[in-house]
Amino acid sequence: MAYQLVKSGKRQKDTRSDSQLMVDLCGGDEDAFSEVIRRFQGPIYGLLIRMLGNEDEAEELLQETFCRLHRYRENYDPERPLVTWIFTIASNLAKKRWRRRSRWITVPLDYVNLTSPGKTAPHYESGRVELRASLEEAIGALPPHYREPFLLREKQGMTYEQIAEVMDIRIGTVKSRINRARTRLRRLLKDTWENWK
Amino acid sequence: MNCREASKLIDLAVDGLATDEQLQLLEFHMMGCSRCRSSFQMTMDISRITRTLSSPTPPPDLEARVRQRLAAADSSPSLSRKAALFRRIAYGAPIAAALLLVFGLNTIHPGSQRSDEYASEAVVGPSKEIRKGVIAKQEVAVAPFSGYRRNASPLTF
Repeated sequence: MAYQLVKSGKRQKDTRSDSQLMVDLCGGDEDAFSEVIRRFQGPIYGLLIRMLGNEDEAEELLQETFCRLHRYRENYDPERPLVTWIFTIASNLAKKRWRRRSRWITVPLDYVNLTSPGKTAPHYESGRVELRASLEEAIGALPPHYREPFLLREKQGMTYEQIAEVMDIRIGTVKSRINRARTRLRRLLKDTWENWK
Repeated sequence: MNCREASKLIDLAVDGLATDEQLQLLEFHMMGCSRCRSSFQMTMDISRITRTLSSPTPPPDLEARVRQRLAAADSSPSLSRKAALFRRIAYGAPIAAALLLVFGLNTIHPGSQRSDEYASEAVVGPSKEIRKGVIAKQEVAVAPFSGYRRNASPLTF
């Protein structure tokens, strides 16, 4: 396609906006779909794996999210940001999965290497890695209805309005859930943080 | 400002949504409240570190798998129709069976209806006169207990 310029074997960055990609996809441009997958696979997989705590299930729902996006592409409103639409699909799939499990989940993240070393002084860094590991564990221990808005806010940088749209709840509820998530995390991480700071 | 109000402002400040005035109020409160100061610092750290948490790598063949699934769905469009039909049968069959059972049993056991001989004795609700307050309640004839006896029927249970 015209946007997929290939120079010396390296694919050039697609500069189309998310909405434009969806418009092109509706027009039959399958390269636009590849670009949508490339842009959103990481953030959605990150959310799903932290929400479900299971790589296989997260992968399955990740595939299903993109399949649904493709199947219902005509329903997309280009006036709305694609990020909220695609996260809404993923969030609804995750909720359906929780209902099937019919219990709250705590995420066993021991098999997923989510911590990565930083670039500062070693003594500071070891504490930082420990804090990261504890933070991962603490986020996994949050109830999903607190975990999801917290991750959407902190990890995806969404606004309260976007989170409310994704989760189909009121903005006030989003604020209170994020506040409670932070309060719980502070309580869970108090000792680790005291040692680290 | 109390600590409860400060907690809300801490959230706004961490999210970068607090106004200058709110930030000044929070700062002033934290000057005299070590607990809220510590809470603010900790929330800032949690927020910062959460943002830098690594994202797990999605499977490299994701696109191929998605396209495979889409192709499989496209090649068998009748699959979804079959699934819808199956769902309709799965939900509809028990309801139809239950309705058939109810009507069937009512037809087979007509004796489960109360005998007509007691019908005249039974007073279901207050009569017109009672409603008007003309006759006292104790004067009303009440159907004998036997009137409520029914022949055994699976529907009685």
